[in-house]
Amino acid sequence: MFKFFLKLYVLSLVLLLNNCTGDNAYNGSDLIGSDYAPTQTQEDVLRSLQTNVFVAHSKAFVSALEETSNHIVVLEDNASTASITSLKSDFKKVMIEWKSVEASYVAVDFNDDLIDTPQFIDYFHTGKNLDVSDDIIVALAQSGNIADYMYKNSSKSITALEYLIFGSDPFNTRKKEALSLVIENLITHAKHIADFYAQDTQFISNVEDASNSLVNVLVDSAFKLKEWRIGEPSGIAQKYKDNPDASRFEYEKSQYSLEAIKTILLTHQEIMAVQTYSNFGDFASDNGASSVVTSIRDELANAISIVDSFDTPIEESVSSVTVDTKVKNLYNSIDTLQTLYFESLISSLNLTAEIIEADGD
Amino acid sequence: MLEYFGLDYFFDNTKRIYFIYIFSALLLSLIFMSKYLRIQFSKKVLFHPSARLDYIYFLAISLIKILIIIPLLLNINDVVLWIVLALQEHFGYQERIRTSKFLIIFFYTLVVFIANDFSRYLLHRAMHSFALLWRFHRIHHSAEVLNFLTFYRVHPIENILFGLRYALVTGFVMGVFIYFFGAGIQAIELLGVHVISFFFMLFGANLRHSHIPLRFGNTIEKWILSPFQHQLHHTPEHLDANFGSSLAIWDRLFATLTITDIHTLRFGLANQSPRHSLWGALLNPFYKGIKL
Repeated sequence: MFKFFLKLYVLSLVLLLNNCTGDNAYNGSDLIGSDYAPTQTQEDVLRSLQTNVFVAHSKAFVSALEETSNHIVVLEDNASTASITSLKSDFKKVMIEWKSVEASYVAVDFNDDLIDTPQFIDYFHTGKNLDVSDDIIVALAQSGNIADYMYKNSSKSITALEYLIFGSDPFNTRKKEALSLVIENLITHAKHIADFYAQDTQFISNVEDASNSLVNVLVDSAFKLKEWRIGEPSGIAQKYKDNPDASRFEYEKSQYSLEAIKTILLTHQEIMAVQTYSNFGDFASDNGASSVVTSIRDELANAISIVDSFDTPIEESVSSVTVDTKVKNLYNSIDTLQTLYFESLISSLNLTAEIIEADGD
Repeated sequence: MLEYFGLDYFFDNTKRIYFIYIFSALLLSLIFMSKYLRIQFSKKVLFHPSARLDYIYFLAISLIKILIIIPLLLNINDVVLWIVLALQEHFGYQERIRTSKFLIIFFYTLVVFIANDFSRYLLHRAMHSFALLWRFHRIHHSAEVLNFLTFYRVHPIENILFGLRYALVTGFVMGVFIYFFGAGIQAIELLGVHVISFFFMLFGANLRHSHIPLRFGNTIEKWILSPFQHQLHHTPEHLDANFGSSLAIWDRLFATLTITDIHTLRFGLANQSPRHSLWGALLNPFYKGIKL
């Protein structure tokens, strides 16, 4: 009798646990989906994001760099003001496409080889107490192979490119060599990213991983936008509280910091706001997060309207003693945005059923 | 409508009395303790005034939970958000630690279980240690016979305290994990519930409130509380022992663990004969003039 019941118990357990792979199994949460292959609709959304955001911007980044490279090749030693102006315009295109790639950089979660690539491209807020321009000045002042003097990754970054194009050093053969070196380095890294996105099939193959990656990149991007790109230069962030300094802006030399900020926000809109293609905002809305998605969309529109209200570069809105109210408003708007991203992340978690009956005994 | 009277609890796998957990408990009893099943389902136990209060109380508390307690409870999502933002503000931004997804989920599953089990121990012990809290908790201990529904014979104030505990503890753990690891935090689950809790439920958690003295043996009972050890806690002689929910390590750590071979247990409060009335159970903690 005992053995019979024991067998019955074990059999019941086996049947019960076997059933866990069926309809009763954990089916994930509303927003982030779950760890299973996506439905056709979900796959379409992910593919649409991959095509319209990741692939489009990474390709455009490579193109902008190659165009800049072509212009550098034909530059004469004593480049005209028009040529330099054209080069500055090229830099703006490169910078804008890079900011789009950076603000939506999900590649890091799907290819370990691409974890450090952004740091090889962009040195903003990466090196401690390192002024990239010091190394460039030394390299330009020396003779001999320029690559020997510009061996550091930081010297071949977009930060270095900005200094070379917008710095006050005269344009000459040496500077042209330096520009070519930086551009070739950037093209190599940009191609790695573009090739990955063009060929990747992992992003669209798992809804949960893709959703987590997108939320992570949005939270990360919003924080860095708020603190690094606005809070620290304006003395709002805790790190430099009441100590504003416009030289901390990301593109202080070119005065393109506001354009960079706007590009990041526009990229967030490409992922979250209503577009001609399906995106993560639509996906999240359809899966029960419409309220927080609406708030995110409104806040993105608000932040962009604040950016558009600047009449001068943001660098001119910050002095050592005063900070324009618009800068503070922009900081607050992006602070709200980051909180909303966290809310969307948290609302997607399955928190209610984790510990059976929270009551005591 | 079913939910207003707690009847959905039998079909909700997040509830202690989910039919599969009850089925499992009964099957375990049948295998190891079949003679005690007769006691559990005897008229004397089934229709004891204490048991009758348990049935009525279960219906009443289900309604009270929906109408009063749940709206009052802290939203766990808010706690998670507070924790993440507070950590970010005080310790700066944490670049997401990239490590194996399995490792993160494994540790989260473990940590959230341990944190919840420990906080349940602490709060349960506090319910016994402080006179004000004991006023409410004694409602649970006034049960003179035990059945699966005795688990729900808990005063609404105690429900609120345990709900707050759950929100704060789970919210804190989740917030810390999100701060360090970003999105994608979730526990390993079976049938939609935390896997460790699930197995505790399956292996006789419902027998904690029963007359079926299932034991795990002295060695295991130093680590995991058996139903019998909780039944001991329901005797007037051992009210100050075995406060834990699942793990026995907290009782061992704070010297409140009791492992004994007593065979005859008498449940209830010392030197008291409760009337087992619904109003008494709900109002006695506020006014001692209303008899329990």
